[in-house]
Amino acid sequence: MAERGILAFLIILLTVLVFAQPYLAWPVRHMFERSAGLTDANKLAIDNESLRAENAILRERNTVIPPQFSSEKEANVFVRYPFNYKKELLIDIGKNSDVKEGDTVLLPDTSSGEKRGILVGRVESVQDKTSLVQLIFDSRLRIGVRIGDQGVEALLTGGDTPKLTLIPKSAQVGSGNIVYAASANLPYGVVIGEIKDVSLADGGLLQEATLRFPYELSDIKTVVVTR
Amino acid sequence: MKKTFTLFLFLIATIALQLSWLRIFGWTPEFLIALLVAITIFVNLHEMALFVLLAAALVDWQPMLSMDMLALLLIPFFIFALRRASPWNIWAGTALFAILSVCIFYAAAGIPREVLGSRIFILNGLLSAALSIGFVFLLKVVGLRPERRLFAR
Repeated sequence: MAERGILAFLIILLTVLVFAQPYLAWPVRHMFERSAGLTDANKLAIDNESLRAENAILRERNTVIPPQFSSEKEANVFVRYPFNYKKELLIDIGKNSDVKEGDTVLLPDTSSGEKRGILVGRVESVQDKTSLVQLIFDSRLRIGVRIGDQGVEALLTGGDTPKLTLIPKSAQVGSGNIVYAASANLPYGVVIGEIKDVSLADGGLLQEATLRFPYELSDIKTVVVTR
Repeated sequence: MKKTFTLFLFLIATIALQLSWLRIFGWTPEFLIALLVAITIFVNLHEMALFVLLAAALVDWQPMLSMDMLALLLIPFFIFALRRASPWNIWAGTALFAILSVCIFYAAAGIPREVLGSRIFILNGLLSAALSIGFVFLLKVVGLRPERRLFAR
């Protein structure tokens, strides 16, 4: 009888926890998700890629158009999506900090005092004190991008290994070329990463490429939300 | 009480394994879904509710209840009912229900159709089936016995 009583009490307690106070269990999650954070090498690589993206845009357009941000808010990562295929983060700012759906989420370039950074995702939904961020590694994500000095257009398809697709066969792209955003719902020119390998797509009419990123997804502890 | 404690330890260890695996490798076998499918053999409805809610509380990642979370809460009960209504042998049923659970979970989560049809996804389903069978075997080894109602028919 006592055993049944304990069981019923635990079920009620957990129901309240799951439906009303889910954040109370997040400290337990942190024990399993601890990470070292970005290393100095990661930060240097982010700075380097941001500068190379600006140079690429300079050569492509003959003018520098740095990404324009009207606001920047720093946020800490609470928890991550615990399964596969979706890559989402919950951050600790929301409507209380004027975050809106579609805002751009960056890993900031910390060395220069300028507003630069590398794109990690965009805000998917906003609550009062938290926001859910869809990362570029999410299999549902599609972003229009440009590659290198020539500004070759391509489509970034998210996933565990994000890929660039729809690259024209005649385009001169190769390992090390910088990739930056060229999508209506993102600031133009925000750097995403650099090309790792290029190959012919199925059918041989187009090229596709894999990307190299200057950070590890699991090391992201703080981000900057921009608009 | 021994059964509840054993399953509690298994659940905590499985969640720790899944989250750590995901952090280290960026991808994880479906340890949690496989375990939840496996324990439907060993528990009654109240115990099922306890473990499903505990799992949901520990892996929930946002303040609002999402479709993914709803699927994680409901799928084990669906499998629980299906097991008691179907004539499947424990091992074959476990494999089949693990694959079914993974498919339902990711379809509910809104994963694109091309991903759900990919070779990686199919392999993930097969791996989940193997894991679920492994969990049933382990739980039997540590002394748990399947619910008698499973064999009522």
